Amino acid sequence: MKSKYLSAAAALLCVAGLAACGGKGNGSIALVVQVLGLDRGDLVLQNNGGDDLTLATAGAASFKTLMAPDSQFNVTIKSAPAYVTCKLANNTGKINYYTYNQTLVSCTPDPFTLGGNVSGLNGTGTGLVLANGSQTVAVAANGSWQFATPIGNRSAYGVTVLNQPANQNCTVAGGGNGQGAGIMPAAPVMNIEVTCK
Amino acid sequence: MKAKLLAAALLAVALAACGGKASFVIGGTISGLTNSGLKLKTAAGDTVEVPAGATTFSFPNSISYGTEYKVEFVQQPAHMTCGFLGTTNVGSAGHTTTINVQISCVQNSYTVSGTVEGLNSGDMTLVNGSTSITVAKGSTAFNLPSAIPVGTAYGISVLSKPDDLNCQVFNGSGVMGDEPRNNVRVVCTAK
Repeated sequence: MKSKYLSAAAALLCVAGLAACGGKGNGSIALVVQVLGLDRGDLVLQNNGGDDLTLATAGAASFKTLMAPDSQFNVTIKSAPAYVTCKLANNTGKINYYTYNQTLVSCTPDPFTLGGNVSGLNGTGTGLVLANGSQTVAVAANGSWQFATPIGNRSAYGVTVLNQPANQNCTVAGGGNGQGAGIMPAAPVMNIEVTCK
Repeated sequence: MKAKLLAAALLAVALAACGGKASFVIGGTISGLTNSGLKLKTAAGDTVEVPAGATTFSFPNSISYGTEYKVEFVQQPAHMTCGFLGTTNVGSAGHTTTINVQISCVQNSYTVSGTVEGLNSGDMTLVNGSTSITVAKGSTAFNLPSAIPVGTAYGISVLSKPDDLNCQVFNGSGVMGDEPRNNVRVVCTAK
């Protein structure tokens, strides 16, 4: 008889033990996010509205609280660094072996226009082409110009003359360092001065 | 005896079914082919010219079941290098339902490098667009870290330099051609 009570007590303990497994914050799977393009802090992510995960670099990162298999996850962005835009993909679902590390956060620094002014060109369509790395822009006449694709803030830039106009020589000044190069601020740069003689 | 004959006949029919088709086209898929000039041949001597932009190709003559084939390059496209994926260019007809030789092509790319003069009081940072490279004090040469594809523009400028120097870039911009560029000169002089 005594042993019956004992086994009942043991059974109760068992139930309590199992219940603990299902309880909040006592799961077995870590929810992992893959972060791309993050070059500064702080990016704060949340799962199901809590469990803040603060990040400053790209790479894989796990939420602190482990989750029970098959429980629902919902990753959201609580806050992103200034002048950085982050987007989520595969961020909701039920966690299991296949989904636990599929959440993707892609961040890109906000881009701003790079351009300036050209003066001293004799006539129009003389062949002046400016470059910032692989990006080029043909400038047909004196006045303002800009590259078609804006540049992400904190990215380096350096404007050069790729093709000099016929019978003239142009030099580049202005920008962050006064010589047509700099680090892109969180604002347009429109003071690259190209002077042709 | 009758049963044996019947079995043999059935076997023959079954085997014929296995063969599927009698002849196979040697062909396949291509990715990244943006220039013209690609010419392929088979070991048997068949040739085909593949135009720019093509994503598939096939040789004019078919081969029969069981025939060995091998596809080779006669000529690479202009400014590009193509390669076969794994060993998809060799095999025997009928081993797979259709012959699928897989080719992928990339634009050739070359390095940009140059000389540095007078950098004797500190480091300098050069940029090509968003790519930056630190040139240490006393250096007499530099290389851009990544190669530039043929036809792509580059332009090197000085992002930062020692305060007591003026640094100027010569031959710093261009459009990449079919060989490395090593004619960039960065000259620093005391202010």
